[in-house]
Amino acid sequence: MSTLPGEIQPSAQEAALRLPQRLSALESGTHLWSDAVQSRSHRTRLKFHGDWTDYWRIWIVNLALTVLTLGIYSAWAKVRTKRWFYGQVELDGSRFHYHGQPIPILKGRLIMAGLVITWLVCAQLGPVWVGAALLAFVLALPWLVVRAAAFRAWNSSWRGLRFSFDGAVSGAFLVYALPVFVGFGVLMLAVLLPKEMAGWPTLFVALIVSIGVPFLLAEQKRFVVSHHRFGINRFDFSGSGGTLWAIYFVVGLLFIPLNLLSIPLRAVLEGAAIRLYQWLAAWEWSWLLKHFEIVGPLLLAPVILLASLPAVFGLGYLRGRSAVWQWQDTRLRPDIRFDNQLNPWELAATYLVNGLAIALSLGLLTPWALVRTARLRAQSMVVVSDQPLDQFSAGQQQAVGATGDEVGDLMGLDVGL
Amino acid sequence: MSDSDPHVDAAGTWLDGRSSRPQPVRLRLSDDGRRLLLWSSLPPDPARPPLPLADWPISAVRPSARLAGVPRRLELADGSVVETFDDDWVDRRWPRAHRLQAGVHWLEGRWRWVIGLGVAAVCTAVLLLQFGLPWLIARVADRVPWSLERRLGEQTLELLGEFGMGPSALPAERQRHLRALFAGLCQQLPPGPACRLHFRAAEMANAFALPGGEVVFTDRLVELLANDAEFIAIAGHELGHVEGRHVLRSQIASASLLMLLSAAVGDVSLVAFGGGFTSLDTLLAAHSREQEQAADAYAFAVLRAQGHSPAAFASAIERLQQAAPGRFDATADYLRSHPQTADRAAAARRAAAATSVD
Repeated sequence: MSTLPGEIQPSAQEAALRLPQRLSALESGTHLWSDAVQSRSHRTRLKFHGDWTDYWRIWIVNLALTVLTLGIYSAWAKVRTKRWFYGQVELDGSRFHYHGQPIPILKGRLIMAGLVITWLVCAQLGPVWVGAALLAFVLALPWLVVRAAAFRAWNSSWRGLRFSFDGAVSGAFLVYALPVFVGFGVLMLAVLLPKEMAGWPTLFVALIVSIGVPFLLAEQKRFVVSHHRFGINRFDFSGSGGTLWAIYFVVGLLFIPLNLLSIPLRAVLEGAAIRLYQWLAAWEWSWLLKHFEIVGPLLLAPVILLASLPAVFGLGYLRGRSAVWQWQDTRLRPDIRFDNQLNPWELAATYLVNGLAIALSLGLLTPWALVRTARLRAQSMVVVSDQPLDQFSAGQQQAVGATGDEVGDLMGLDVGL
Repeated sequence: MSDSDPHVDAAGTWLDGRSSRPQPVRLRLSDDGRRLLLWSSLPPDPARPPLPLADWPISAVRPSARLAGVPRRLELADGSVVETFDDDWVDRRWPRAHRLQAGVHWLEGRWRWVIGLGVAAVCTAVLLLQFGLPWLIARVADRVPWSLERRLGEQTLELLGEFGMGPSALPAERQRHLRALFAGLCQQLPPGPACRLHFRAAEMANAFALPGGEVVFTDRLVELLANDAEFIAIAGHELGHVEGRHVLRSQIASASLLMLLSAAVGDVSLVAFGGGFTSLDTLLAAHSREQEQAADAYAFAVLRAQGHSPAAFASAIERLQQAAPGRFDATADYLRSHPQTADRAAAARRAAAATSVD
């Protein structure tokens, strides 16, 4: 054909001539090479602008109006909170935006309250009802995951382009519901086996759980991330459960001393709280305590929070490691990657100080804690791309109801990006 | 004031909704004030006549609500958006948009109002938890049919075996005697509860009421009580719980507090949830002090009706406390707010004194 040997020859010669040059460049250090890549790629760090005193005022007014309206205002409060946090994050000169509307959120919350009441009634009616409710819940879980992810994605935008989520319920069933059934089946098998063999299945189940769960979590993350889009641009996730397994192993080792620490801590703190209460009760105004019995137990809340600080520290570390793990293998289109420079120990320390501040301020410094965590997390993130970030296009999508998101909030579903 | 002049521009960014390329623009109203014009902020091209990038009637523009530190968005009818930090400019042009949230923003900007609202909210929350919630729970409990409550009680009864409560070892004669006494007490109850007495073998000297009027005595307690009057005192206390539907009420209370808690900590995360969850049980116990007092008062009335002195209640619970000293006056009870044995015994003796005066 047209590709004659003579035509290839010059280019091959050129390549052969260039090769030693390239090799010497590599040998002289990677600086040259990485400089070349750096100059081609754009590194854009997220910025967080929020001032915690602004949020403190929003937070107090939100809480107050929620209490005074017996909870109805909570939907408006959620919108203002989310809009504020999204709006403080800047990427390449533009802020993120939250589009959620109060009325759908209020509806979602009412449905969630109905579900919680149903669950509580079932819990009273006996084991058969509890089993039926659990089964219904596991069957509904894939739908909830998809709806919650879709609601969150569709209500987030940057530069006028919305995020979206197009995962199917059947796909969510494979990673969220099926493993529960399989796990339950294995557990049943272990229970039904004759007593002499009882030790082995238990060991087997423990092994499956400890090895399988990180891999399952990785598959769930893959499902969630890879069905997200920004405009028409698809996200992709190539993380492996193996790395996550290593993370959980380290965190498991970390939690042993942390838990040992929290037992004496708790005993000391409870003793101090009782002494404080006795001191208050001996006080001239102690009739207040007698009439408002609720005040005494509420004193216990900061004690419990303080006693759980070692666990909070471990949780911060786990979340930091998981975030780094998630983002290093996430791509938006093939060419945009995310360099999450979050230091897990720094996040853990932040959580620790937050817990102290919240407990000692009786909750009043919660906004300060939330804002500094959000700032740390946002400013650790660097978006790395070959082209400037103004090359994305919009896609087509429909608005989504808020029920999944509200139930997801209650369960702490981690389905956002 | 030149500031209210409709021709003054605001700086903004136009996002066309189709690509992520932002365009710096100047926002301006038309001369009649009815249209929003967007002009490019870039230097004009001399070759082309100056035309606005977009031109929309003001009624087709939807501004977002004002929020401190967050850019204002003007959504246009074609899906494109203008963002600007010039909140005052937007507020002057669209004074009637988002009235509720504009009011909330006004509040958020004033420290005195913010702190005043916070204090009002704390007071309201304490009042609601202390008085509003128990009132609501009592109304709900009144509407639960006795048949349903009896079913709950029967189910709990079946589960007792799993909590280490085996069948009773008391002599049949003694069981029969106490059951006859108990049947007499049941006649004072309103119709509805099952009012059945059960004996169970257990380590601890204890008696408790289950939903629907099932009352359980442990063998240890029966052996401990000195006479019939003391049995009637304790049984009367438990029937006081039955009559007031206290078990059902505390179950509803725990359910509703769980709901409140999960709603309240929605944005405070797991940690606060854990802390709140564990203090939930102490919060519940706070309501039980009133219930214990009501049940004690019911026991005094029962004792009187059966021709005994309420002082029998005092001797019964003092005996219980001697048998298990740690359980009734544990230091944690300061926070768990169970009434103290000494206070309860004193109340019983006061009731006895009042009876003898009559």
